[in-house]
Amino acid sequence: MTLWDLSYLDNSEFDWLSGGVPVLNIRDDRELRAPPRTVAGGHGRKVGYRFHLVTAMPGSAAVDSRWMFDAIASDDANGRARLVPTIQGINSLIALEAYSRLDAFFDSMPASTASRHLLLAVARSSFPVRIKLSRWQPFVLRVRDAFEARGLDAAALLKGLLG
Amino acid sequence: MKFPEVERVIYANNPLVEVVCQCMFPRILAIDEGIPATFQQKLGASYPFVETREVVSFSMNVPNELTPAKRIQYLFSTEDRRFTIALGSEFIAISTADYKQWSEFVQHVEAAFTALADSYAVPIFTRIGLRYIDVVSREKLGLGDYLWKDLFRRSALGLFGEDEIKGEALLESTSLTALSLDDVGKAQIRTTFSRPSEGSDLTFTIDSDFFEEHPVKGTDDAIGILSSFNKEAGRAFRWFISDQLHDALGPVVPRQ
Repeated sequence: MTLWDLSYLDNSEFDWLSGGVPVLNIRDDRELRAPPRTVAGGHGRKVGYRFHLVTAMPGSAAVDSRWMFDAIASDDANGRARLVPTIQGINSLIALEAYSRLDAFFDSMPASTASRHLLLAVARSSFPVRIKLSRWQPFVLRVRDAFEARGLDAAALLKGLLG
Repeated sequence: MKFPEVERVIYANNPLVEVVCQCMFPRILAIDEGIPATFQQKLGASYPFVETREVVSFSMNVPNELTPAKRIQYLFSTEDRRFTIALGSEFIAISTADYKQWSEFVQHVEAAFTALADSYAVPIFTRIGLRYIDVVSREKLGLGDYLWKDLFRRSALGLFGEDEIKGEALLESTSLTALSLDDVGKAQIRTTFSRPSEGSDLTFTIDSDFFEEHPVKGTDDAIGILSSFNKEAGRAFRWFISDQLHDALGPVVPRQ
């Protein structure tokens, strides 16, 4: 049975989990959630549902992400101190194959204000999996433009990453 | 339906294992597409821990939504890890597994709402919910010699309230009741008898979900509804339990 084969769904299988959201246990390691649509949380097929599937696969794991917010708020004065947690954080998401989280991070990094050391570290530490990251190249191009605007030698700093 | 008014108390032997407030809103694409840095900044230093997790979202019978999509959820926790604020593109939730009293819990709800309003345009809440999960174990309360019907309203026990069903014969039972509340919203109360593991003591769970599904504008109105749910939840629990259980839980009248 494939992940998206829902033909076996049965209302009686719904259970409850945090947040007032009914959960359907379809596997030992997977859950389906849908917002209740009727007063009794009924789940007739004629009603539309949006499910949120939480799996036990590594990519769904909750991981420490404080480093993302610290990196976004960084500047050249404090960037070096945040290098290690940032690189460790990126490596942990790569290990989990949590690429959508990395893409969201790339899009949120303010290239014009964030620490140049961190911007370089982010670009270089994620370089090996760039093919999996749809927002990696736009991020590097933004960094290039921001470095040039800061009067930095973007070509030299980003050597091997561009082109 | 309105549960009878009772004196508000805090239980020394608190049976609450989890309290969750969840408010849903129309999808905010910016939360799916970028890190909620402004939200985290607005929350301030009170929530130093941040975790992310991914869920796969897909739809059934929803027009124009065919492709499964990955969504990111953000979990902001207090330093002591007692409170967590979860943010997704369609909801915000505040939860704790160590509930003391409403005045403390609602401070975290207000902090979450303020940060949300300062960071995103949330036109309405489409669903407001407050959920209390109580788990009662007779053995943990030193009430092992009592019958369940001595501790709870008999009608809440289903077949387990029958004298003929005793001891090891009790395996599992669940019932779900939905009620319309007089003032605002509805309540969905699920009661469950279960054994956490084979051979372990039977526990009785009262899972009360108070919710409003009409659109609510403004965080003040939302807080007002949640406060009325809180009162109703306290009255509902007291209505469920007997005086013996009430006394065994160690009721204390909170300071004003």
